[in-house]
Amino acid sequence: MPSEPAPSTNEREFILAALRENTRLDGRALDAYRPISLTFGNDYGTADVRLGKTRVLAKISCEVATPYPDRKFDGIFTITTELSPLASPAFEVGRQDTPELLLSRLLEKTIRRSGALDTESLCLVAGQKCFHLRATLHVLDADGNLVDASCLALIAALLHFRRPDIEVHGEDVTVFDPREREPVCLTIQHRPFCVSFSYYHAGEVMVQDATLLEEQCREGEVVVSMNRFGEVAQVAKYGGPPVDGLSVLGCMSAALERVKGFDKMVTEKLKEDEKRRDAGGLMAELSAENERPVEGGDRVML
Amino acid sequence: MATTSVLLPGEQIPPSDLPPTKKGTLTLGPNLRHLPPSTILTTTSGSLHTDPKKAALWIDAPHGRYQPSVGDLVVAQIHHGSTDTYHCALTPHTAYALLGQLAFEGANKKTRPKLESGDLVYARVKTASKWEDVEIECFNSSTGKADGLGPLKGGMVFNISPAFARRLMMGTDKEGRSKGGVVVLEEVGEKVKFEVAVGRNGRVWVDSGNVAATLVVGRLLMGCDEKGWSVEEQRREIETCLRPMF
Amino acid sequence: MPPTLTLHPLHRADGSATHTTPLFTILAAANGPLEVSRRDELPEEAAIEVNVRPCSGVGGPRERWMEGVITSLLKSLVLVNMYPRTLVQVTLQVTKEPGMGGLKRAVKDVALLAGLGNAAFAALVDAGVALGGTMVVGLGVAREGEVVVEPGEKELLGCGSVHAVAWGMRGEMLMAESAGRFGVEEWEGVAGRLRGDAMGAIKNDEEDGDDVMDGEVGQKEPWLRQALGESVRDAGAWRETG
Repeated sequence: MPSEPAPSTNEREFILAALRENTRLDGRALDAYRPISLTFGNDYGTADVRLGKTRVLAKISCEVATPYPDRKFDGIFTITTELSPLASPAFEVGRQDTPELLLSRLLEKTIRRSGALDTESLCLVAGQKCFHLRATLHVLDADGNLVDASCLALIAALLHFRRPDIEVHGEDVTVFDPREREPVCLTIQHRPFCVSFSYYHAGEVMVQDATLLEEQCREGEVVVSMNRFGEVAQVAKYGGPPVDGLSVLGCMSAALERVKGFDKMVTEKLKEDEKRRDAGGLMAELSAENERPVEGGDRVML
Repeated sequence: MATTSVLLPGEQIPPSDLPPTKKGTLTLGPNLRHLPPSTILTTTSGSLHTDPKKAALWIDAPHGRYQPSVGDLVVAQIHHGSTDTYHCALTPHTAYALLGQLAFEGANKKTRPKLESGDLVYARVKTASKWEDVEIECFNSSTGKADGLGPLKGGMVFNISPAFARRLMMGTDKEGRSKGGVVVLEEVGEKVKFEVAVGRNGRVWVDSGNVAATLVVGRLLMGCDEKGWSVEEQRREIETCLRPMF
Repeated sequence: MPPTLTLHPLHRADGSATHTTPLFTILAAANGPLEVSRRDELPEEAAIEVNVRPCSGVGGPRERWMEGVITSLLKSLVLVNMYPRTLVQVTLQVTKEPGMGGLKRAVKDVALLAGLGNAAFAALVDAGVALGGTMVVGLGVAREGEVVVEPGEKELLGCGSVHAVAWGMRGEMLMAESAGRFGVEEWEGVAGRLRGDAMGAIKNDEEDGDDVMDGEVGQKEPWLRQALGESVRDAGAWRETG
């Protein structure tokens, strides 16, 4: 049956009373995040993010397609988010509930509309062929703060992904299999991350990384998307009691600190992953073999 | 109480593992079913336990949603009320259990408790069959006494697994040691005053009058459930948590 | 190489399992018995709903076909009469699949069925839903007269036919799906080999060898019994200590 069951009056009053004393159920500080883990899969473009009990998986895939007629010089980039009963019995397949709509809208604005991915770089032959880059977000376990976890997973996956290498001769495009030529990184212009703030007591108490129960008891939420340079992609406050303007500014500076942390973590994890794949400097050796002339005119398949 | 190796779903209990019976009847507990004339099959994977005294056997399964059975004590949450009954949720996403509005100690039309949506009650399961809605009550219908059942005000309710709830309700053995291997409630209770109501449906209500103490009890219970602490580990965690308070 | 099975990786679902083979990794979640909407409720038994979610993109007709096969398979396994007018919901998410090209769709789908079946069963056990038996789905390919079970991507690419067969604990066949070109004898060869492996996956080491033939079974690990047993033993660990 749809929608999470509402918490009991006892839980709601207790959480609010605890927040008045600056205490949270799991003992965290108001602006502390649960333990975050980011792991990449063996395939390029797979990122698994865990934020406490919340878990999301982002997958990037691409194929050759025809560009939109009104955007001849751009490739296509779509983000699919679907909440399934995997994450919680409250989610139904095929139904676009409010939480799902909000999540996909926030991710759209943060990642697509802000131009994080350069879609022009996905164009192969203007007006005829382009790459269709598909980002799919699977929510595996829902315990609050899906937005921050999802954005983190998507950006990490986009940075991790390698698209097939291509060669364009006039109107002919050769798309090389990853075994023939090393696939190529995407052109990422900047890395926006989302930071959500749940507020209580008429906006006086701001909490970061709310668990499901904390989200159910909150009055409203403010979501800020920005990159590590402080450039804001979007600020959202969907309804709820009014929040003092100064509090929102406070959120922005808190968000900047948090985003810098996310960015650093993603960079570190990407480097670790590089090292793991490149164990023993194999990468350098492989490319040397590609350039060696081969007898018989056959391609070498690695 | 004998334990055997792990059984898979649909496996037959070998006749050698069945407890001896005097009258020729066996009592089957959870996760077992009977195929006449004399085959007993498991319905899930778990370990077999027998009680020779009561000629009973059951399968202890680690996970699983709570299934109501008669006599269970549960922490129920009122969802809404209709003419004569409250509709309560025992577990999320299941059909509501029915609680009569007069099923409280000494209640009549004028003096019954007025419960709102979101209130919690400690109740006992009166009837539970797969064909009808579950019925619960907040008093002992034969004696008319509350026996500790009724509305739960204030405090906080924590979610635990039904298996852990069973452990909490196992009681103590002859030496006073907890049969379920959980010492949190007793040992914390020596230093901190609190009230507790354990629901077999996986919810524990705790009220200690203040936020910090209530949280300590709740966190210790949830930690023991999720991380499977041994009695030694529980004692260490209790000490760590109580130290800042005294 | 036997598949790897981990139980209860997720928190919100009643039961969950991750099933990994050389070809696919599938994350399965089972919820139930839940309240069911009027439209889907059955008066005397539980309704079973299966959702298959592909690795990338949204599902289409292929996923709907797989859902149908798994639903009828689970219907014969779940004791639906114990939960009238409720819903048992199984969601199967593919998190890893074989890489690019060359694999025919029909072949890939049949290969996926085996993993889906095993993952769904493990998730239902983890959720404590009452089951009438234990099931193992085996995957085998036949190429040039040779039978390979638990194939990797290479074996799948050049195979003549692929077969996914589900077996109950007494050796009864619960489902059989195939793709490719093959004759009756070839199929029987694959099926016999898969049956032996399935019985091996659930055999009880303490019992004497039962009527399982087909040679190599003895060396195979009872992986399903071990995986399920580990979960039960972890939960019962508190009885040994303190």
